[in-house]
Amino acid sequence: MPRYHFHIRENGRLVKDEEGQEFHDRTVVRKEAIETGASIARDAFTSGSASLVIVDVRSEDQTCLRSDLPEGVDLALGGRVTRAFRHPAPTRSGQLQATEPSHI
Amino acid sequence: MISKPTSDALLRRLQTTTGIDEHDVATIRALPIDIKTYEAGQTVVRDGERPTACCLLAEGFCIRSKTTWEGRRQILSIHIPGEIPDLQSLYLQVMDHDLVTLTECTLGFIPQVALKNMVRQRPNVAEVFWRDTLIDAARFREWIVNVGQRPAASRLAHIVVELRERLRVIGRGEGAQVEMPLTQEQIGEAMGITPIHANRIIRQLREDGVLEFHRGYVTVLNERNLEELAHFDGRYLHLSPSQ
Repeated sequence: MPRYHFHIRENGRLVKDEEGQEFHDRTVVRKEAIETGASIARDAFTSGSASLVIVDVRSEDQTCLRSDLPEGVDLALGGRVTRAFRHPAPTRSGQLQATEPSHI
Repeated sequence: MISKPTSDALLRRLQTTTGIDEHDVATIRALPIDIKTYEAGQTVVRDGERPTACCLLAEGFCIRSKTTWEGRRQILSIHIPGEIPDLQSLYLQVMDHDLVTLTECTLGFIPQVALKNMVRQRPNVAEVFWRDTLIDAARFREWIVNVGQRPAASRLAHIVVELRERLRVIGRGEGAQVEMPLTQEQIGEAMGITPIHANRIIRQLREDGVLEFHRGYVTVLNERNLEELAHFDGRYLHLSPSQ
């Protein structure tokens, strides 16, 4: 089973996932990344500790798996941002927004 | 007949929470029991099974859990020595969750027939066990509040403080270290978050000088910080007979 590392960035602070986890199914990897990002963002945004949460998922061999994933999913492996949530500015709507992909 | 070491934690807890006299102690200790050893990670009773005995956790740690159709496991409760996690199966015949060992465990299986006879013959002891299952339910209510409403760091801090309170009752929660044999993944399953988020919280608690997690136990780095984060109110544990 391939191993995946979920590196977390909150604002400028990067927490690397050295250990990683094994997943047999890439759709589960995507789900795990979204759930991780959403629950970290919930805490970070409500406490005000960060306004940007990025979950950067990489497989052991750094392969980009984007093309293997279902249509419309912005999960890319191998250095691309998988899922990002930006805390909306107070004057804007209250929804969480995905940011533009960037490199870590 | 339940030996002294096997019944010690159970009797200590019941003595503290409910108050039992020497006749109650004698009645409980006279119960037949079959002692077995389990390795860590073994399922003792499975969801859907019909157990014929209730299991007294004499040594080690267990969890009760439920797994969704998708295979996601939610840990519902953590159990310490002296508890009878599946006492409900005495009257709820089919298990509606799993009972799983966290560590190597010594379990004592008490036949349900013997427990039912005891309950009928000794209403006092029946009341003691009834109260015990009500306290169990009160802990579940707090668990729901914890998982549903508290931010993740407070949630984990709350679990640690509760565990320490309960361990103290059986004489094991003194000092800065709290026995807590959960892996990062299991902490995630208890809190309803992914292992990565659990790892993030564990790190944060250490960096903020609150708790440090080790294999099998947690060190309290600063009592004041822990109190501020957990906002623990132990009323729901009903630790004295008058509560």
